[in-house]
Amino acid sequence: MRKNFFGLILFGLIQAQYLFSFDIETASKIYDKLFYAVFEKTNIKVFVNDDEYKQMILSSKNLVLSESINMSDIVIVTSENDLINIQDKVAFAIEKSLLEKNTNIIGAFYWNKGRPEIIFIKDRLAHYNLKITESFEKYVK
Amino acid sequence: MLNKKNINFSSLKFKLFMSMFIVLFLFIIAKFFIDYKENEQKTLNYLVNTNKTINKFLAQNIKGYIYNNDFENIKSLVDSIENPYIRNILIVNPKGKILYSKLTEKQIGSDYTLSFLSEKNNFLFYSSFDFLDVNMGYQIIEANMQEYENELISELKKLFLFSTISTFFGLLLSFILSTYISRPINEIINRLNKSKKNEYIKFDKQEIDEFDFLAQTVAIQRNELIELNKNLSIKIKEEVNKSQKIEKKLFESEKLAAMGEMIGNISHQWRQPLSVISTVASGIIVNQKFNLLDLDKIEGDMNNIVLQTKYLSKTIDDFRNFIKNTNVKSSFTISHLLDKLVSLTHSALVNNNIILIKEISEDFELTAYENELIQALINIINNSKDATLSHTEITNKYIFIKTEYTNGKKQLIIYDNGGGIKQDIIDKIFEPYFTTKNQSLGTGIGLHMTYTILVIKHNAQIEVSNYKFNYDYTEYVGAKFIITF
Repeated sequence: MRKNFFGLILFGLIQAQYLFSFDIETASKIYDKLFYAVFEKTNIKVFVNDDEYKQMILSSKNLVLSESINMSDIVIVTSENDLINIQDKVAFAIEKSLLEKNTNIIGAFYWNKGRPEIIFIKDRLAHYNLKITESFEKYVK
Repeated sequence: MLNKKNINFSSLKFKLFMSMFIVLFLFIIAKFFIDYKENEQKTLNYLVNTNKTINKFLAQNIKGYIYNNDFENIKSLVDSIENPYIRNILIVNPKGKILYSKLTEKQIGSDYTLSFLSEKNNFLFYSSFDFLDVNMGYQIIEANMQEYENELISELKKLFLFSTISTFFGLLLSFILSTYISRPINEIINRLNKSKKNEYIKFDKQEIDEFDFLAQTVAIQRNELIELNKNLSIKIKEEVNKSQKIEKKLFESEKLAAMGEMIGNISHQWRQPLSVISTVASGIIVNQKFNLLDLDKIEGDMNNIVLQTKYLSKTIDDFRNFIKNTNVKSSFTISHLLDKLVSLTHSALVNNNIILIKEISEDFELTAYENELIQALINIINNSKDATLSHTEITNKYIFIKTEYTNGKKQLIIYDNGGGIKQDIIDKIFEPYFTTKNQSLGTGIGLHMTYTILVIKHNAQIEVSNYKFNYDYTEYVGAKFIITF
């Protein structure tokens, strides 16, 4: 009985990672690369409201979770609500549709029919004097 | 001769057949192994390509599901792939946790060993899902070994069947080709085998130049040989006839020469009785002139004249009998034969101071051509006479004639003290025209004639050897002729 209980706990812990809506570890690596391409530095401070994304930032090697928007280098916008207090901070969206909602959003990473898509908007990068690394230039539009 | 019923392992046809078949068989074996390896590789390539295709298909669609932990879509996507060569498809995360397994034997969430990343496994294929060089997981395909083996066995069966059929056709092809190639030469051989002795042959034009040349050359040479043989047998017959004629003439001349010599002997033998007759007749005439005729003495004288004329008549008879040609064999004793021989040769021997010693210990009977036998023996006596005469070191010249039975066989032995015959020519003395004498003295036909008469006509044997013997306290060497009847 006791044995079964611990087994159930263990199974629960193993399956816990799949409770997130995306693969945290993979996402952290992708966002590492995306934001490095923008800022070309380590320990990039990221602000995000979403808990899953917070977890993702915490899993990352080069990203640091920022407690406030003001202190952050970039804000991850997961919904329109996140745009309310964005001020003039550089933002990055997780959906294509959010790109049109705010000009602070310099790009987006999203999934379209199971395929990953990345977009960087040239004018908005220029507005913030940001230059994308050469390997990511193909995503600039 | 080629044996048609049994396989002739040394025949051209068999060797051609075996050579062709071995080459074809080796080719079939080589092709079998090459095809088998190709099929093995093809099946493996098929698996690899299938994996690549599936990976390409999945990579385009599944990354998002993996990223977003959308297991339902992963399941439906993976389950939509059906292929007999694939046993299982697994999707694992970069750490080796199974996200989905088509076969339920592998539990979702359990660990899958990633040893395949470093170890080669021919029946396990994998691909990774990457984005921005970030590994999102692996697609692992476990090949259906059973299907793979079934496919290989099926290919093996097909290859075996193909090889068996090819071998059969190889045998057939080898047989047809070897028969075709060897046919012209076999036809030539059969034609030669079937042709009768001395039959002229002609071959039709052969398709293959080399065989045509061979056939025509064989035909020409054979026909030339037959022609030559025909002419040769005619020529041999002519030469034999010629030789026989010459030999006959030589025999005749030899006989005539002997006769001439005998006439000389007879004239010598006749001198004494003629002298006796003449003396008796002269005595009678003288007595008659002086009237001293005494009838008793006359009777005695007349008897003496009759005796002498009988002797003369006998001498004539002996000579006449000798020169008479008789083709009938007669029976006589050896002593009778030797008496005649002595009678005919006595004068010649006495004139040359040669003593003839005759020892008839066995007086056996012979059935033969008497005169020819005498002629044969005269030739031996003449040979001995010449030998003893040329052997000037000896003062007493002897010729011995003996008869005896040796091992139940009748033998007549004639030997002399003439010094013998040189060892290097002793085997040649019976050959025609062989003589050691001056050309004017000898024809070389005498002893050959003796050999012909004794061996060929009377089926007797004659041997010659050098013989050392003692006579009258003196040691002599001479030629010894042994005639075995």
